[in-house]
Amino acid sequence: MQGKALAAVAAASFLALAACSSEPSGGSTGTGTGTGTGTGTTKITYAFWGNNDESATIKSMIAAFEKANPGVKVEANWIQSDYEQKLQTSIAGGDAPTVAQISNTSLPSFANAFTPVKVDPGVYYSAAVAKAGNVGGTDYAVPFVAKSKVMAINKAAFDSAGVAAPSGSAPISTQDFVSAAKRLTSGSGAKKVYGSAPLWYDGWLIAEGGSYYGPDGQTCTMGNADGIRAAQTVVDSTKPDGFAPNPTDAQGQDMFQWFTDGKVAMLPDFGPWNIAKIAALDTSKFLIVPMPGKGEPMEVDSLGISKSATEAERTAATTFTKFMSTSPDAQNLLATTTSALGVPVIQGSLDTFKAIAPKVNLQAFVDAVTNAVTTPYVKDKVKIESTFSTDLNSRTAIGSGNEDPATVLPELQAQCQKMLDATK
Amino acid sequence: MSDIVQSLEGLLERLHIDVGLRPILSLVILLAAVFAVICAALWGAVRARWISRNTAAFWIFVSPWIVGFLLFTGGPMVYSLVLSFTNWNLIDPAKFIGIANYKEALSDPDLGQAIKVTLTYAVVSVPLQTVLSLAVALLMNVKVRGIHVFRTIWYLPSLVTGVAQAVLFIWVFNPSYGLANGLLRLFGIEGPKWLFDAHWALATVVIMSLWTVGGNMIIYLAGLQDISKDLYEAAELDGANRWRLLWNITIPQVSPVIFFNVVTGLIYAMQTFTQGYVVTHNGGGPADSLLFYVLYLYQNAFSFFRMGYASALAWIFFVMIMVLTALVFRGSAFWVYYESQRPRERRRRVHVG
Repeated sequence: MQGKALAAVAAASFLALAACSSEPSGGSTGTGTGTGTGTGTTKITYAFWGNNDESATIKSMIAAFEKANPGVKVEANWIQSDYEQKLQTSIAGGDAPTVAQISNTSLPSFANAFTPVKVDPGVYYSAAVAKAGNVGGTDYAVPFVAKSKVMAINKAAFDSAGVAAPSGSAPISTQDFVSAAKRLTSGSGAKKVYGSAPLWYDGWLIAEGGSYYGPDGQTCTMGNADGIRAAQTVVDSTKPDGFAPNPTDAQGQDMFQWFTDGKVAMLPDFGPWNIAKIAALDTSKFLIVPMPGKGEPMEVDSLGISKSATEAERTAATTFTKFMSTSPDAQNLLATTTSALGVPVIQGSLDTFKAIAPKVNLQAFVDAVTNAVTTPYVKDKVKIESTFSTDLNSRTAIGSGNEDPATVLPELQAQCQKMLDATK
Repeated sequence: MSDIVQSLEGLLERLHIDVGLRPILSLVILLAAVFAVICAALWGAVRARWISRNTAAFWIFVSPWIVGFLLFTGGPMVYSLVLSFTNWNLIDPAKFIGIANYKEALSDPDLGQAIKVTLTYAVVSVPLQTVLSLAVALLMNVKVRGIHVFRTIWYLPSLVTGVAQAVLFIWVFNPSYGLANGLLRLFGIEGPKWLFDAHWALATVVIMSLWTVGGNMIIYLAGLQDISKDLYEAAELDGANRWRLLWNITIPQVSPVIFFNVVTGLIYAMQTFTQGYVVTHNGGGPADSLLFYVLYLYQNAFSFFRMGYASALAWIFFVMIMVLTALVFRGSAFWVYYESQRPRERRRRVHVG
């Protein structure tokens, strides 16, 4: 009797599995089967990263899309940490999200997971934004938010030091920045007031007119005169008589808090995620100005459509990415007084963006997007730059070393070139 | 496989099962089907008199573990072995490249650094943890009033591990604002940069590892309380002092526990990842001073998109741990005392091989 029951269970299990596996798979399209949500709707999934506020912003954009496109249901897949690792494994596991947010710096590694898309460069006011989703001449992702960098300054500190505040529209030179930072520095020990927050080497390299690679991405160039000058400035800034806190003093500290407390007078590398915070302050005391020199690298986040998406999902995803990227209904939501994901990429949403903090010159963010330079596609970029960064920090006073950047950088450039050549 | 799961979820949707329950129910149905097949096969084997009922019962009871092992451990291990012979970036199809990954590992300077960091950490931290946790256990084995409170106090830090522990110690060892240098300053000493100095970073992580000795202490305490009091009484009658009692009774009696802790501690230390990951992500561990083997493996797999090479590293690491563990096991014959073994068997253990 028990044996018969067992056999019946086994047979039923086989039948259930057989019946199930005969169902059409990937049925996320219109007929209400599979993962569909009802008759006439297509469900797509959308993976993105961000903190609570940024997630809320994205979800409000999704809601706006669903309102405008009732035939498409977007399932938000908010990945709060280790975004790229989780995206990688989901792709490798055959469970890629229909649409994935991806930064321009990470896109080359993921490009082959995305289906080529059409990007109309005429829609965007910045050439750098229009090219952000392009890898090797093909567009793989649709840009939808720019994260340009500017510099925040404490006007009161400039006034009391008798230093002329930088213009809100034209960037000061890197030499003028250093000169101003030195004059704004005063005191010593725990009461020292710094002219500037710590400089980020990768950012300062661009400000000085340098770059990691040549325009074609075939040569490493960080060891040239611009690169050495950038490294030297960073090193000098954190010396005991320098104008920025050293890495040890800055470790674990909130530089924005130091800035608002008057402990640092200038805050370079100021990203749009700080807009809501500065807008909440007494805006008459603070101003946003362009980054000195030639600016800083800009991150542009784009939307890639999974190669494994079905035809219906791809169509829905194309509608979704187009909406997120080009519709004022979505772009107007990118920044509010409570949270700013970044700068809109279409002209039509810039007035709304600037209106959230009219007194702090948000135009500087827009100018930084307009003037941003694009970086060339480089294979194994992550490995090359990780090795470079580790060695630079280990050997020079940018990190824990004490070697002369003028000696170290040409050597690291040669090492970079060797790694770059090995990828060809 | 994903088609089957999707279809099952579709079936559950048609049955109006809540969306949140569908994945777990799909898994339950799949496992039920697998066990039904196993049971049916065993029933058939019993009917055909190929195996006895007892044997069938054994396989039925052990099958959950076997299925779990094959699905979640054995299968992935075999898959990673296959991957170790490929070049795979997780996005494009894997390409077979023979033993190129293993050849590359032989000349990879970063791998050399990772092995150096990991072995140094294991060799220094495991003996330190062993000595300290045994010493604390001996102290906590003293019968005084309120000893349970002290035992609890010693064990409590073991509850703060992993990322929480790493973040806590990044603050404790912050060169400018941390507790460690703050205390040293009271004595006029300017402390090192700890996690932010290439020469001190690993030593600092070793100190961090001592935070959790309370876990091992509990095991030692159990071992110590298992030692027969007769042995101590007999030794005291023979005039043994405290040192003699410790060296000739306590240590030999507790040596199997020490052996267990050393083996598990060694394997655990070799697999250190969190401290290196969290500290380096917070600006510490300069000059690859905290490049633990598993961290380097992780970087290759998930930062550099080199899953094939990372799989080869995993297998090299597996062999390394196996060899080290085998050496510890072999060495245990010289210092681990098993009361159940007769002197002749013990001598054989020492001299075999």
